[in-house]
Amino acid sequence: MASGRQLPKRLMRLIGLVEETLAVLLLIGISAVVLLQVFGRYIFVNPFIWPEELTRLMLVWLTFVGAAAVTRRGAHIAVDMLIRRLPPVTALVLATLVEAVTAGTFVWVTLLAARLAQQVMPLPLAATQWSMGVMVWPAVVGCALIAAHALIRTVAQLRALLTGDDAARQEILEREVVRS
Amino acid sequence: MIALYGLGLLALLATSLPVAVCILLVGVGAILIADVPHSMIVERLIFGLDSFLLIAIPLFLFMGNLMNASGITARIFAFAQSLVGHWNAGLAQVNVVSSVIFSGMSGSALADAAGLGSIEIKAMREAGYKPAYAAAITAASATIGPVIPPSIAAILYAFIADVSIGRMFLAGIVPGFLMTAVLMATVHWRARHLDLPRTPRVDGRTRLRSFTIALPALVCPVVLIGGMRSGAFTATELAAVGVLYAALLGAIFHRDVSLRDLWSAARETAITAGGIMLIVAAAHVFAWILAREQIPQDLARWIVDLGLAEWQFLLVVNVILLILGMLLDTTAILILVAPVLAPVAVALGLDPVHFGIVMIVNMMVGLLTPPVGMALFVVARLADTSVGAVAREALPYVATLLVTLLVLTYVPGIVLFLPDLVYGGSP
Repeated sequence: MASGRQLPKRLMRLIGLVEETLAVLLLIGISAVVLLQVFGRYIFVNPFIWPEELTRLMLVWLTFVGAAAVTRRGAHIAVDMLIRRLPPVTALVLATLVEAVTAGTFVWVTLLAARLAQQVMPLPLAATQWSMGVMVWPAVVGCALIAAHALIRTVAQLRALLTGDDAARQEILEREVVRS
Repeated sequence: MIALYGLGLLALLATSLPVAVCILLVGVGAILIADVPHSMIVERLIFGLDSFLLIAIPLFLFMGNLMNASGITARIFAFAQSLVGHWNAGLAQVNVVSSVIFSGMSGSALADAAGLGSIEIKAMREAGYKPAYAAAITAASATIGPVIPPSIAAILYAFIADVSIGRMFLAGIVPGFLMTAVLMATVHWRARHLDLPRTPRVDGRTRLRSFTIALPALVCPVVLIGGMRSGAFTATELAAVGVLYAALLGAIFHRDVSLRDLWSAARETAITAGGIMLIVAAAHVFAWILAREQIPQDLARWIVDLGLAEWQFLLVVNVILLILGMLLDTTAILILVAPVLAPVAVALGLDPVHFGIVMIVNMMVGLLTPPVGMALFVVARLADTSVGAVAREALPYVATLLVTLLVLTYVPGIVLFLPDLVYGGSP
């Protein structure tokens, strides 16, 4: 039974590692391609047109992959003034609701984005002639990951809330609420 | 309609929902109320990011984090110390001077506070300064960062208000130095009443040596601003050059910087960028709802009908922004307020670049005011003291920065002088 619980946890940690590594590679990639564009213009006197489009694509990918990593760490930019002042149990109830609403919102966004991705598949991008799907599908995956991380956090917080273990509640609160 | 959206948004934000989610939920509201097509929400969310200028945001963040990781901050600190360390309250002045130098290679106040701050606060505590005093001047001087270019806030504003990023960057230089002078004067004035330690004056040779060591760092802002001015590079390209430069500095001059340090700087940047860019993406949804509901136009008409003079409008805006600055994060304020107010300011005949700098300086004061003063949180943790104690110590700086803000608000020439000189008069 224990290993049954361990497996999803390990899987999520692996996904987290993949997200963060991918985000770093995209960041380095964007820097490199923009530099290539500068050198292309001034050194080879031969301006490429595809690098600009590629970097814009990578920015979209970086945003959604990065946002998934942010969700996993519970580090979204938010106003935590009220929740910091609530008594622990109330704060945890609110934090759980927040994660649940985040999960719900991104399930909805994922479904809409997937529909959009299908619609734009036949359309080509201007410079690379790739399908516009390469811009939208990664966003679909990113949004789905955001929803998944938020859902997992909802469940973890709910469990801490219901099992009634004060230490576990406190630990989750400190990790979730007092983040800055 | 404005009140409905505004209050709904504030209520959502208060629950500690992520800012991006709050905006998306306002989108859901717009679908229900105004019969907006569902698909538009996600189209705006994704395609809105498809901008070359926005790429500059993660790149400038990356450059600042790499500079911090490469140990360049310690050299800047040593150089500033050789310049002003022997003054009254020397290390506090060093703190301000270091921040000004570092602001030329970093676009975010929090990167300044966290990177330079750890060195500054440590040195000040060892010299016998009170932790809260050290933390407060660190937070106050970090606010110069986003005013002097490069600046993430200026890029965001240029993007939202559709003004030239070159003008925005140049417009920040004089106000940034004015803030520096004001902070140094405040430190000096307070030092007469407090018993603060000094460090001995260094001789010319030591000063020259620390200058040489810091030179690679000092060159960076000059190259950035020169490259921008010449028109040969876009802001995004300069940011990429800056990333390469920072990485090379770390690799060549600082052998003790490991690949692991660089990787962790990249990881921190990528995650921070993910958080910021998701809000920027959501901002497109918000801007589109605003435009569809004609909210800026209605607001502008309403304000014009009120017969507010320019100065009254600016005063009201400053007060509102200061209150928001006590509650909200800088990126969130820019994204939620700039698309509403920038068109109104233009309709009233104000220069959008001047208005943008006023907004940014105002939000920087907000970083120093509780309950949500992000800079206070960062430095209080570094100095291992309470946020309340730092906030109290920061009060004199908040007061003098507010006076500076008033001057910048009502003397647009200070802000617009440099961009007008370089790019010609405002259109």
